[in-house]
Amino acid sequence: MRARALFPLACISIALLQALPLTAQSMPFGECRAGYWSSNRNLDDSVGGGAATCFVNWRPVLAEGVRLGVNARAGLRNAANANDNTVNAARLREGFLEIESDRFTWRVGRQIIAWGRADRINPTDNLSPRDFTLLVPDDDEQRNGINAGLVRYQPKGGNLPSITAIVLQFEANKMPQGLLPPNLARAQRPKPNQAEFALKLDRSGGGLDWSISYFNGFERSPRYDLDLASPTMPLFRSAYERVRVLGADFAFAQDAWTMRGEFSVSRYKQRCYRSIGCEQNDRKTNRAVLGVDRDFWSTTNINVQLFAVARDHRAPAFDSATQQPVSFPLPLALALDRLNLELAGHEWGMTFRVSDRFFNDRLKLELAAIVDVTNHSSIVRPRASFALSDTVKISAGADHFYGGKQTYFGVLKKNNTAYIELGLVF
Amino acid sequence: MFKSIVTEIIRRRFWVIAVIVLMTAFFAAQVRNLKIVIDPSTMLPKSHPNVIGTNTAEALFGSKYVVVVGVNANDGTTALSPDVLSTVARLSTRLAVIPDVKRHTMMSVTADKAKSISGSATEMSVSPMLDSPITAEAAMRLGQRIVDNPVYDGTLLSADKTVASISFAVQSGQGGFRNIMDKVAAVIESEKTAAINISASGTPVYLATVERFSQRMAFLFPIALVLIGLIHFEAFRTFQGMILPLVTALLAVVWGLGIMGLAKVPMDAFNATTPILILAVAAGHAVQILKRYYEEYDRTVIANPNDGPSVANDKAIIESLSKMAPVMLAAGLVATAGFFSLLTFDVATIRTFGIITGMGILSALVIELTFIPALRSYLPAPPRATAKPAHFAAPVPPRMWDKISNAIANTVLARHNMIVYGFMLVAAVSAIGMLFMNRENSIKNYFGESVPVRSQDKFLNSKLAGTNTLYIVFQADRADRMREPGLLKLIENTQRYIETLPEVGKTISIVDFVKQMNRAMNAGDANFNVLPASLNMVSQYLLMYSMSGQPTDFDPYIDYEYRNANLIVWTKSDSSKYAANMVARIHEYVDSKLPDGISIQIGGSVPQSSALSETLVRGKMLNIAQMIVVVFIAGMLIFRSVVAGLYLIVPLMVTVLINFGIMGLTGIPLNTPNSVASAMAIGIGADYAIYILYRMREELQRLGDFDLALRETIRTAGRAVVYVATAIAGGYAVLMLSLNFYVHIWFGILIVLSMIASAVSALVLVPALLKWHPPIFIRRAAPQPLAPMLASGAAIISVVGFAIAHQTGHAQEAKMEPNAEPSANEIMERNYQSTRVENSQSDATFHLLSASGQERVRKTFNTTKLQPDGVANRRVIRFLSPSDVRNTSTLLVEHAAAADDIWVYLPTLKKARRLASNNQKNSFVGTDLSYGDIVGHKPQAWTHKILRQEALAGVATYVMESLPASAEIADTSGYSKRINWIAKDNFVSIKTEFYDAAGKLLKTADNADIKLVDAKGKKFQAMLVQMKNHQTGHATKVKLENFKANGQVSDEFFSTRYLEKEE
Repeated sequence: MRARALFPLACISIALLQALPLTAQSMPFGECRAGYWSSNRNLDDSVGGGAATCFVNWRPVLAEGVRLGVNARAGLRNAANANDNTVNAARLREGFLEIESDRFTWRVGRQIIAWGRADRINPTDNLSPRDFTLLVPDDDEQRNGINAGLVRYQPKGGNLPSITAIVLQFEANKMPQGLLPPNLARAQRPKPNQAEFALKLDRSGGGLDWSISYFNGFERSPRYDLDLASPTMPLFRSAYERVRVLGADFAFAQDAWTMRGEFSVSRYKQRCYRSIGCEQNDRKTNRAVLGVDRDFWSTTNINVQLFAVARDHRAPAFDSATQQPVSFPLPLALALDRLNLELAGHEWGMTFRVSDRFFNDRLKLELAAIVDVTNHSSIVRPRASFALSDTVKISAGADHFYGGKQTYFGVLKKNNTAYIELGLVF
Repeated sequence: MFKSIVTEIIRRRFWVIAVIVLMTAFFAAQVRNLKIVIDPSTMLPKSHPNVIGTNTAEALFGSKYVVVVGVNANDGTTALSPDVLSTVARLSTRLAVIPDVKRHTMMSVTADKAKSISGSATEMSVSPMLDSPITAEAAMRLGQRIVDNPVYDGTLLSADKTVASISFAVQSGQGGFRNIMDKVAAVIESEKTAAINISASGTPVYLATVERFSQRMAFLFPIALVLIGLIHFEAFRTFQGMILPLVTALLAVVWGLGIMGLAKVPMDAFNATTPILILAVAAGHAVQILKRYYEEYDRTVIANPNDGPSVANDKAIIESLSKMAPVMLAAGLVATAGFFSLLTFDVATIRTFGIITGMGILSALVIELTFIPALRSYLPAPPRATAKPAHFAAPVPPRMWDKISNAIANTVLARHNMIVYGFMLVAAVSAIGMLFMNRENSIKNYFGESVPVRSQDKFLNSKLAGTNTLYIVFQADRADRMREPGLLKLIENTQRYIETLPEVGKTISIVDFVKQMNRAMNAGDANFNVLPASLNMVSQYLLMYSMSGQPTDFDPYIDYEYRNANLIVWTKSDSSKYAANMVARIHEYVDSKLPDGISIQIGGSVPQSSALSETLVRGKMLNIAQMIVVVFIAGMLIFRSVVAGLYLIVPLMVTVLINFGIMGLTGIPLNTPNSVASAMAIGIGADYAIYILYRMREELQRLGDFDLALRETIRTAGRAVVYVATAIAGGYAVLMLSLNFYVHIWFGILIVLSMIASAVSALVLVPALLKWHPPIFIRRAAPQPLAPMLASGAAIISVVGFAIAHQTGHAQEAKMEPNAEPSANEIMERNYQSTRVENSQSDATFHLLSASGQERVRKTFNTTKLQPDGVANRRVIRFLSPSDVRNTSTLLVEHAAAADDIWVYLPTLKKARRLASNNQKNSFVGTDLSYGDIVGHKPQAWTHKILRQEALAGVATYVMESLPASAEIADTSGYSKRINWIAKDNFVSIKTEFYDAAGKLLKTADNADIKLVDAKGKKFQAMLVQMKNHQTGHATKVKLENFKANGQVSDEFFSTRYLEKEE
């Protein structure tokens, strides 16, 4: 759903605005930012340019227990590269109707669903897609909504876990296009049109917050394989794998420390096409994140996490005709690994994040880093934000990737960027 | 009845002595709990408008007790020299870091607040008054800037440029001012050189000197003790006669102080002389008993010559005590009733005086009726008298005391009419003298002219604008009004008017700065030294100033909201009469000109002194009337005669008249310390008259002849009165040795004169009245022994009840102090519970004000609900604006026995995130309130103590100190100490000071607009909370609206489900 969807929504919104009592709380609100980014996030060689983004939220209450949730984003970018498809995007991130009745919450429409209690790396968070090319300082702003129907049941008393069931319509992440090795063709297979569903038991309260979740759907990022049967040149063919994810997370606080953990077991089911048959065998991938954070002094927060990924079946190149693994020429094999970001069977690493606030939260500083210990790569992301007033703030930051070409973060080096933005809150 | 009691006491004398010794040891141990409060605010009448005005000025603008320091070259040359100015700079820096010096009030040529305003038509320039480094050129520029900024002329630099000034406010507290001023003096001394002279003055300097001089009691008390002992020795000519009254008196002092310590009634500096009073009163009763004992012993040995000394001793004890006990009880209880009636007084120090003295006298009664007879029976009997009845009590040759008593008896019998008329004349003269009474309360006049504080004060007042302050706080009904040109004009006109009043050195207000800005923006043209005509222009000037100056520069003159403006008046006099006149004239001038919605309050060191004086005079009259009524009712009930009551109070009234008359004729002022002299005179004087009346009735029944009985009464009880009066007068005469400290000297003079007047009245006027108009009660049989107690009790109840009926507010406050005062833990628990309603919903607006004056606003929706246990609370705070934090929500769930749970929902994350709850010191979303401040600090995690009780903005409060119970609590809360001002009536905190880990003042929270939100549960809520961070200058104002308590609040709010529901 893109810009064209915004027009009817805008019409509906105007009609609703006229029907609703106009109070400050019922009015749309949000933030517009404009600034300079030294690079885009498309992993290409484009130079930087000016960029502007607006987020608009609207939460009108239609009736007792009935509300509308709207969140839209519009972007404008002065890109040097005419083919840069990250330019001038507008998107309805959320547009849902929510009804609360007694112990149930019903939500239908486009919505952002975020799961997972770990800090920023969430193996159980497989529902809402992301736009990885979006030029925003905060990764969470890259989330997009997904068309879904959600029902949540909260048993009375609060001691029992809530139960959430969701039916979703697949939507893919938006990926950088520059990953593809030069001079090689790429073919995209049809997007899945089967329904997805997810279930979650969630308990917050008492000494321990926890959840167990299950997702049966499709991987949001495409997985590539190499079609050597292509008559002209090797063809990198992408598909969205069916995946079942059993996940769990927890969080608890002890004295000054908060411990968070999140685990998932993902089973990727082979995907068969009538025309070309099954392409891959089933694979399993286990992910784990375990970390702690605590506040030091009164405003400094430090978070440290360990993460690990274990794959039982690392991206094999195989001949679809013989159904046997084949040996690719090394450059192609390496390119495939880079496309799938599968660079080892077992990977582990650490995340660090230090944030501090000054001048009564007017100045916020953060330094985040992720170290991929297995492949020796890392990313460092400094961030600064200063509120000139309640409505105007200025922010600056950078993403800097380190590592060799065949490493997780080294692959993303073209996305090294620095930015400065002026924000207007309304 | 008393005979059997005394017999029993003597039979079990060992146990009686043992119990009394043990109780004395117990009370002595309690003395260490006695809190010495030196805070002058304890003396202030809380409800007086001037005191309210002073507290308002302090709360809004920080200044109350101001110290003025002057630095000058010893050779009298200009202060615009690098030497003098460097000294000022160093002093300003060093003084600012002394604990309890309010550094933000520091003003000198090097202070941050002292700014030169200059400019052109397009630009305003705000620069420091004194450039750095301090050179001769910088000094010259300073001189020019003072000329260009006349607002500082006379305050930062004397008009003749020879004295540079530093002024700052200090925090009053329990520790008194000496603690602070000693440190200030040490800094000043270290900066003095052969070429540089430094002087200091101001109310804190004087109050510190009062504390210093009051310590003279440490050597005056022993001298008084020796003197009283010597007078007793002269009276009885026996070692026992000297020792026993003193032992009684000392034990009574220990008991009195111990009971105060036990009851947590604090002692203050102005009651330092009270132990001497207890000593004197207790010794007086002991003398009466001893005197009677000797009489009875002589009678016994003459009547029973065969009795051994031990038997005779015991018989004399029983006989003397059984006769003296009723009268002693009557006299003691009447005096106690009189002193306890002071509890209705509005001034805390007077109430303390009443409690100490009353407790001391009660203690003396118990000791004299138990310990003394028991001890007496152990001591050897005195030498036997000869068996000649005519001489059994009068040794030959007659001593001076006998000659005096005989002469008095002869005079009374022969010239009673003349005596009565003579006393009437004295009373009339005294009444005329009263007209000249100087109702003055100038602390300066407590000291002789040669005391350095006086000479330094005189010097500073001759050079600078003054050492005393008066504040006129203009208060508007809404923010921003103080920028209106009309109001600024009113302030300016008020300044011009005040400057015409005597002893006014300078007036300063925001008007002076706005005018200076106008002048600066017009190229310094003096013609533009006027207020701008429009509100816009005023606002623009202030905005332009804020671009280069600090908004805190105007903190002493105007508040952030432009709602309150402070007009500071520097005066050269601290006279309370002067202040009263000033306050009256200012009201007369301003009140009629105030527009709607504008009011003024007047405060400051000088008006506060005037308030104290006014209250003392009014209260003194009430107090005297009250004590006289108590004595009258008690006397009437004891003797079952209205005439007896009258005969008791007539000598008292004469004493009071003489007391005030002498004050009027000699110019001794009626001030705080002197005001208790007449109360003492009444308390003691009533004793004398009661002893005389009792003895007269006894002797009349025994002898049958009126004249003989009168002669015998004067010879026996009268003689004891003389002993007591001379002992007390002698003891207090010692105070006259306190050179240059008039508090002691005046007190000594007044007490000696009062003792003479009351003794002479009891010895001469009462017998003369009895002879002049013999009453019927004098011929009646002695009343039942319990009558004195019942009568005194009835008198106390009736009078205190009367007082309560007329002074409800004061009496309620007084009632709390002795017995009904809750413990520190109870106060804090009640404070914790006072705002915890069953559930609540409200909207809050957080105004975040940076040190530079920039404001950010956050609006929240808040709801709370107690958990099913009814103790632990749940709280949700959801941000409604601004947009970048909208829907950020916090859920706090308390647990009584475990760490609380905290979740924060961030809309960007789209999920609720659990946080560690023990870091309560974390700032609550950028405000100056921590999470701990929001949820409340659990009382059981802190140890509390009552520092003092004082009025804050006219509200009676407990001032509570809370220290973390453990290092962990200190760490998690971020505070090493909290000081709470908790309203006595509703237990809500009115003000809280928070101290950081280093013990420095970190924040101050002021709670206002406190409303009763749950009448049934007596729960309150402050609708306005202002939190100021003193270290960063940042402040947060929280305004609650739409507060609803105990409505329908769903449990759903207190779930992460609600947090995730964006609105």
